[in-house]
Amino acid sequence: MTKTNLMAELEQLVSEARNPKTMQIDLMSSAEIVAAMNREDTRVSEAVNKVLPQVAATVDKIVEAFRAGGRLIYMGAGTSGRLGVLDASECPPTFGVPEGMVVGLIAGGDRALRHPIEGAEDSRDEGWRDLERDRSYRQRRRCRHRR
Amino acid sequence: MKEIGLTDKDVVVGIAVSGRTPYVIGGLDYAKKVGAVTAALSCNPDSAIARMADIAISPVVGPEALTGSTRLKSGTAQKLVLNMLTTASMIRIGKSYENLMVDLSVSNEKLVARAHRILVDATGCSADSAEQFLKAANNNVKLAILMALTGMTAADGQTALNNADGFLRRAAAQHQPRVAS
Repeated sequence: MTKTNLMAELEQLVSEARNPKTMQIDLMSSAEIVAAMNREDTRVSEAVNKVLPQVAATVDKIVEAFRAGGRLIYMGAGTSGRLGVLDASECPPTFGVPEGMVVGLIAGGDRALRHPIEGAEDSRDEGWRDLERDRSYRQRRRCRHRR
Repeated sequence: MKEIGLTDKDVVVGIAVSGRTPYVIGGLDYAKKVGAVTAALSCNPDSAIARMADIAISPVVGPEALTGSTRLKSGTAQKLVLNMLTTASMIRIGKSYENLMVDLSVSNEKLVARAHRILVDATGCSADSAEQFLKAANNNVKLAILMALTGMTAADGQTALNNADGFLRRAAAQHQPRVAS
């Protein structure tokens, strides 16, 4: 994707838009900044409230998977990846489940938990590869694709 | 963490605030190819990953207080959803009794103390007997509770739990219906 395309794409995103209520955040005192952030935070649980049906539907699928011996796998890059790893790593102590029942994958691997890894999130191949069975399987797939 | 050998029994949840992260798109692509259930967690409506996954979870929290710093509201929303996914699914497979974490692993001092308290809360037994039950159950809190509630031995309790798919209420109910009503 070209830089111009990417910039145009990001411009469309709500999460990248400027917030009119915090345009003067650089002039605020500490108390004002944290109050402004706290006001914004009240929107979070409202937003999550609206997607509860989808969250519950996902829970149902995860329960089905667990009952069949399957796993829950989170994948993300940067903060999103870290949050997945965090949630996955809390499951063994909290619920006594084996490591590997809930897996967190982060673009760039474990090192990316502490250090930003340039470009890690930009590779579709890496996302594909992180879920793949083994190299021989990958090669077989490639052969199939070539045919 | 590489090459985890995804199968069609697994569920893959792709997480990306923007909903366009290539790493996540690649992963979901592979998951679909394998036949795994896919979900997409993003904070923009109708994002690329939301469109490709079986289930789209898109909490839209609006523009951040610091423009584009998505570790703020977006990150919080993601954390809330992830909390729900694991907590709810673990409860649904029998990891809690009432609202107590009865399968926690007793791996440090704080958790040993918590295990004691859970046992006392669940059964009303004394701190001393809690300690004995935990010891007899080899620190398996769920088993210790079942033993305290029903008087079963560790071996019988384990069998009862296995027969009840690990659900403590069910295992206790079979023995002593009033306890689990």
